[in-house]
Amino acid sequence: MTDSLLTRFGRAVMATGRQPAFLLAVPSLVLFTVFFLAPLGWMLRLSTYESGGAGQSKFYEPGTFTLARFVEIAGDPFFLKLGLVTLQVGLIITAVTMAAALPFAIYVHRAHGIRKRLLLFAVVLPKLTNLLVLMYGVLLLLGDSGYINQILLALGVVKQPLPLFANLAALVYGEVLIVLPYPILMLVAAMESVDPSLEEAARSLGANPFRAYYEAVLKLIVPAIVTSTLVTLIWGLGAFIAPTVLGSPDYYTIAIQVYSETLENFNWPLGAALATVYVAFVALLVAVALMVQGRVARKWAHTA
Amino acid sequence: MLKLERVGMRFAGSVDAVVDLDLEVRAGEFMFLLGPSGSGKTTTLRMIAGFERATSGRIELNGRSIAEVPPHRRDVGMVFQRYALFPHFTVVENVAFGLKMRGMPEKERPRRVEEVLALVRLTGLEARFPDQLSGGQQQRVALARALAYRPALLLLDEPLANLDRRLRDEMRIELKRIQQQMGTTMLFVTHDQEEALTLGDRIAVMHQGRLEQLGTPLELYRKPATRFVASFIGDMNFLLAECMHASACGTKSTARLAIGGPDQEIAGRHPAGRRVVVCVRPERVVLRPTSGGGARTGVVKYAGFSGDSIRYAVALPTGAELLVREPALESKAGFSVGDAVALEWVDPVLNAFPE
Repeated sequence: MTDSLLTRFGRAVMATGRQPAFLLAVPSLVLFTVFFLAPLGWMLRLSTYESGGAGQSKFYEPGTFTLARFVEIAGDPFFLKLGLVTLQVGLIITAVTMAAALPFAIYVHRAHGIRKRLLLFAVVLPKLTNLLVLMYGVLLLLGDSGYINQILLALGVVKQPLPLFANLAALVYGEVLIVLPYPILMLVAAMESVDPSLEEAARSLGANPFRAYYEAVLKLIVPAIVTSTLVTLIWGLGAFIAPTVLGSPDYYTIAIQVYSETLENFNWPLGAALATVYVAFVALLVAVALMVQGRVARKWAHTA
Repeated sequence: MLKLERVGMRFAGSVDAVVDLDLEVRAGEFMFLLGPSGSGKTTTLRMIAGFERATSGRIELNGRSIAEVPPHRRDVGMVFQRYALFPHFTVVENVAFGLKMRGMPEKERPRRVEEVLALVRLTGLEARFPDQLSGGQQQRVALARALAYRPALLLLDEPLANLDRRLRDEMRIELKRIQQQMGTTMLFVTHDQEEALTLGDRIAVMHQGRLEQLGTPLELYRKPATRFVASFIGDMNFLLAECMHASACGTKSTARLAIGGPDQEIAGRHPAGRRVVVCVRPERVVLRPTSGGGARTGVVKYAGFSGDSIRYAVALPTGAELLVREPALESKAGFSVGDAVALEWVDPVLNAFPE
């Protein structure tokens, strides 16, 4: 018997009686389990340990179980403010990103040939750079001795460098740079899947170009608009690098706080509890969004 | 009603899609644009609809040039090949869309929608979405949607191409009925000559961007103006011949067929010595038994019974093959493969084109 390894493998699979198609999901499931579900479980357990003694000589107190960290988070106005700031930052990032992404996606969708390919390449271009490098690039532009301030100083427009970074605007600008390609690509993909003759049909039925585009393209991609907004919001809520490099302590997000609790204060249970609350909130958000998505799309299609 | 004058379309960096096209569609007419793919028929339709801009010439609708009129202000409806129904709208919403866009008051819309749905026999399916309909039903919705606001001219771009044969035959009859009932002027693009012959009041045959011939189905079939039309409309045999002399009256000539036999009269004035192809329809050929040999004879190579008729392929001494279709009569015994047959045709004068 000189059956190849693949043949024997195939026979073994058939013998299990399972749909072989299931195997296609195995690599993903393994990765997902090992690198996401298992750490998630570990994080949950971590959040219920006692913090490690005075001066945090230990990261946590093994063998303990307490919900004290959650009580601490719920009771301390600091964490409430942290949550609200994170939400505020996330929503602003989402609003700015989507306001830029949708028109640009339409522009790409309307373009043809080489121009369309160049535009799409331009969209993914920032993704070829390391995030941190990208952020320091922004700093190079906005910093006290950055290009903009240097030019303004040289021209004598200002006497002192303008405070262009370490504020909300710079933080949002930086994070939008990071996130923007995702909704654009999602929206363009959705637009491309719409039969172009629908728009022509709308035109021949009496719709002007704008109305035709709205009725026969945009209304059809509402589910993609909802999904891409959601993806953007998740990025925005989890903003870490942009607030760290370009923001100010007033706009430190939960992600930054989790980082400093675990790696600066060595209070792993608190960091884990904070992360747990955050993950639960985002999961809830996604669940609600996915539930209403279909209804939103249908309603939008039939009104206006 | 619709008039095209020397209309041309040249796409950048490519051959001319449409060249100097003259065409006039009369009010209430069911006109066909017939041609193989790449003949420019769809481009012509899209220029009339306003989706493409003619690079030369003039298009008039009801006496007014529509070159500067955008598609949504042209009084032209269109039925697309793949229907282009709005998947997010119900049947009613699809049909009412044109009424809404053209500003018909909301109160008046339901009556019109109901009317036109009854016309295409879709009553009862109002609340369905396109993906809940069969292909034939979707086709009807597309038709109803385009007819609802009563455009002066309805353009149809191969609307039946995606239907199976039985449904297509059914829709053809329906289309003709609707066209007659509404009196709508229709311009129908197709590559299916049978469709054009059975439905069209007149047919414009296009080939390589040019108009080959414009005429009634009967005219195209009986008097094809070009060799292309002769070969594209129906089945046709082309027999090689050499022209002997033109007749005195100038409308006929005499030719000697390569397969022999008496001199053959052909239509048109051809100079002596020119090689021509003489056209014979398969159903105009009569086969007679013969002992074999001699002029205008051949051997049956294929005989196929198809209900009302028998099709033969007859091998000619020249090496060519002649298609023959004879009515399958009980009184007449058919021929078998290998039989020698003598050929005759019903028409004394045949069409001919330069080779």
